[in-house]
Amino acid sequence: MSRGRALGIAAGLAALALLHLGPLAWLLVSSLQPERDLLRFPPTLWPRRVTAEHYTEILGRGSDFYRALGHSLAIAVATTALCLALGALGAYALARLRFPGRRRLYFLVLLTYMLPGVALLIPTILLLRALGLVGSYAGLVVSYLPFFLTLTIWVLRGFFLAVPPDLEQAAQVDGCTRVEALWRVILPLSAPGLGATAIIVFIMTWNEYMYAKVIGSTRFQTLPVYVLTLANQQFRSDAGILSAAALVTMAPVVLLVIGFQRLIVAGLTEGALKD
Amino acid sequence: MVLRSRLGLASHRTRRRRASGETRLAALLFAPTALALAGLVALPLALSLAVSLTRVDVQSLRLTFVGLRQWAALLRDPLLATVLGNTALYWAATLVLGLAVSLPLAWLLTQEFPGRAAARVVLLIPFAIAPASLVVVWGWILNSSYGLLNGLLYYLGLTAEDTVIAYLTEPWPARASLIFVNLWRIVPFMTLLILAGLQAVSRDQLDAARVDGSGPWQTARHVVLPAIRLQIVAALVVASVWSIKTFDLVVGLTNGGPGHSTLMIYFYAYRKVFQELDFGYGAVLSYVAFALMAVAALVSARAHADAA
Repeated sequence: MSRGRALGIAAGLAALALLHLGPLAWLLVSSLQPERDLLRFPPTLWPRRVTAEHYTEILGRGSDFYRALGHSLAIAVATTALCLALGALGAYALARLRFPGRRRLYFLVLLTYMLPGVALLIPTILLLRALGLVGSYAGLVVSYLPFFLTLTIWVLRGFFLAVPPDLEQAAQVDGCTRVEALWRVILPLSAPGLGATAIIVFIMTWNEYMYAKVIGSTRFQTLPVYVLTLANQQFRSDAGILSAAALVTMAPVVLLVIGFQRLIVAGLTEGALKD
Repeated sequence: MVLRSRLGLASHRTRRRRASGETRLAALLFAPTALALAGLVALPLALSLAVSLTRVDVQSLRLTFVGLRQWAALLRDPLLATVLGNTALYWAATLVLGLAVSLPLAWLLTQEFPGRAAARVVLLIPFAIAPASLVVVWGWILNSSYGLLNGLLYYLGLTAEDTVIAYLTEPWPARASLIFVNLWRIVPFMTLLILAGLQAVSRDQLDAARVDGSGPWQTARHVVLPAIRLQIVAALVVASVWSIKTFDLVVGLTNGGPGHSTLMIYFYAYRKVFQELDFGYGAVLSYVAFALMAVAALVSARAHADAA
């Protein structure tokens, strides 16, 4: 490799790291300083005084944070489980079975995924109100299905297509029915794909704001709603607390992503690139 | 001869039987999804069409049929042109700049160098961060009085101590800031998609091109770019969907302001419904957002078909 080229690569990487890790580092630095040190110009790049007061306030006893964490966890887990259970069946049909209208159905799934949430939110909230489900976990989880179930099918279909058909045929020769073949051959072989899909849906549900705010209504707040509510409190927009809240909210998913990066990259690119 | 035709007939029949069996199984497996989508997509869309034709009284939830009056209101809405213009600018800027950055970045990541795995993790981080947290980070960095960006400009000697650049409260800086933050979260994703494509371009293809005497630029244009067309289309589709669906960034960073300078279709529709409680016109606007998305979907389907 030529020297100039190596330098170019190094410069590009440094820019990438600076741009993407810098803001997070800055958030961390901000969250560790007392408020009066934050409200000065120019800002101090390295904390003069370090304090954990913002974290103790957020993570203290009886804080709203824990309630939001509980809501977020319950909803993300329920949505992920439901999407995977229903999506695996649908994805298998699209990946492996021949039937008339298969391509059109696949396109319909994609189109539904692209539907703007705001278009569905209005009628959905009217329906949920009629059913008495506004402000309930069930109402929110069900409202997520149009987006995350179609996303699940899209991504999983890619993984199912990657399983060699011979293996499934061999199982059928051995006397398995198609459903048994799905259960005994395709699903175990696609375990990494199922894992990747689960993580992606979990993260997207965890991060969703608009539906969580409107459907959670006054009954419950998920973490993103909690953070943005905190941010929009005009009279107490405390930069330190806000930074700490944002960091604590993103920490679990960032760790998840770092731990499973290979799987997630496969999942994110698989669905999009299989025609 | 007779035997063969009989055999052919038999296999034809089993094939047909198998095919109808597969159709039945497919229907069975797809039933839960179809049911969910019928109840949660088809029914709501029909309902929303009905809402767009009626005036909803929020207090009593009484509906009055008004026909196409709310659709006609689109033509008289003085804000609509601004909103569509803002949306188009934001969308186009994200696609053009996003591609301009992610193509070279993806190429960079195909090179062998220490820390390549770490670089990929960095690319995934924006995907993991909730937009709600993202606006906290960027709102704080772009803060005009205490923000990091103004601080860095000062430390670098580019601005005086009393220079205050308002990134979020002046129309053009606010538009640019939103586009920047959008790129910050989308470019890594586009890069990952394009990278997946680049890795599929085989060594052989590149070597063959070199043997034929094609230079690096020619190879890029005539060998690499055609090979990753599908991935580029996918990246543009993802960027389009995320851009049109932008909501949290606007809520957290500019709230559509200053004035109406960052008011975009998605946020505008939401505001009509949930702040101004104008359900009918909000439904009409959400169909406009849907139409934009459908254009993106159809264009991508076309490109997919061409590339495949």
